[in-house]
Amino acid sequence: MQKIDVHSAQPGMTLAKPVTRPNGTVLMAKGTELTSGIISRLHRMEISHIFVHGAPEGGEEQASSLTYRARLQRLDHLFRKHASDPWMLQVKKFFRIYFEHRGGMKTPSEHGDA
Amino acid sequence: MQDLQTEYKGQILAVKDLPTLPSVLDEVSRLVEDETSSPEQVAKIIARDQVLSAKVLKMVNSPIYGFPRRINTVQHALVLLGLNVIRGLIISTSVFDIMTKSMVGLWEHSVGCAFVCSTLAQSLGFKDPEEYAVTGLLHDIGKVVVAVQIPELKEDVESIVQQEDLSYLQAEKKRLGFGHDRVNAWLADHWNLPLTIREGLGYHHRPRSAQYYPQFAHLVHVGDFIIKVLEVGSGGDDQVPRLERASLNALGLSFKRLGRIMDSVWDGIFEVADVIPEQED
Repeated sequence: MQKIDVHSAQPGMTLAKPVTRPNGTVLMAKGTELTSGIISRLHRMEISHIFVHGAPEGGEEQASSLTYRARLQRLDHLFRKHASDPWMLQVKKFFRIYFEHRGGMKTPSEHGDA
Repeated sequence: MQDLQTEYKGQILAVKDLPTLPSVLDEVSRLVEDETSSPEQVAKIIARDQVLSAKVLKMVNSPIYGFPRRINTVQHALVLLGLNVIRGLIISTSVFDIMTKSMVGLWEHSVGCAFVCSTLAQSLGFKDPEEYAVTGLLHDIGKVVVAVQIPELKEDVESIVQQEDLSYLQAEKKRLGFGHDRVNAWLADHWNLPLTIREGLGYHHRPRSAQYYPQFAHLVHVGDFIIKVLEVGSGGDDQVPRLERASLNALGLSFKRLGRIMDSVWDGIFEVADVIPEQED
């Protein structure tokens, strides 16, 4: 699943989540296949983002705006103040392995690929 | 420095003058102290303010709380979530309302933290996970109130973070002499929030010092850490604090268990990002 801007919507995509009004009223059901007619309706209703099935380019699913690969690279930066703390290195390793696992990546390098 | 600190404290706690803090909050806080008051009375007061009611219901129906069916009335929300959670929601939505555009990242960070705290508390089988969630939502409220009350301090803190590569908390201590965790505790007292929430707010950076409800401090500490690693929103810096091993131990969290909880977090965090109010592109 990925969140996309309505301007990037293409016919043939299917909704991974229903399109709703801010008050929760469902406008279009989950599973709806987009057609050009439906896309122009989304524009008219001033919907800005939709959730569609499938992974974004690169084959990596994303949470927020970062891909798994980008996340792995960010770990070194985020943990930079704890480089000589064995416990924090263990914590970092936990998250590195977690992100690798979630991304289905096979990068066994112990040193990361920064 | 001591005098200056006292002066800052006074300026920060002039919070009752904040333009958008609804008068409803004072009334509700008074009712809380009155043991004879009923949820119906409280619901009626909140429902008088329609904008506020809508905001509270929006939060209540967000994925943070995960109720399968929509909650349509304030009274129903009160029964399900309890008065303390609803008061926390009123405070957070009202205070964040006045934040500048530059603080949208902090709202995302807070909503994300609330979601992680809720997920942690549910997975760990804790009673009243909503109360942990609202503590997560409010855990950085001190940053917002300082920014609103003394804007130039926020600018100074931000430039210290940038120039000296310090954490936001370290920069606050350097510039003000105290951090947002202290401010949080003052605010919790000011609004008469329960001790559970106060402990989470005041001790999320040093959970081992919490005396009464350490599990709140430990859980928010871990929730804050996870959302910082995931970089949902921003707490004002781009580095993770030290994760207290004692917090994982206190919560009974092994890495294996944490990994499973991370899966639930990951699957829901998408929707939570949508709770961000009035975001125009």
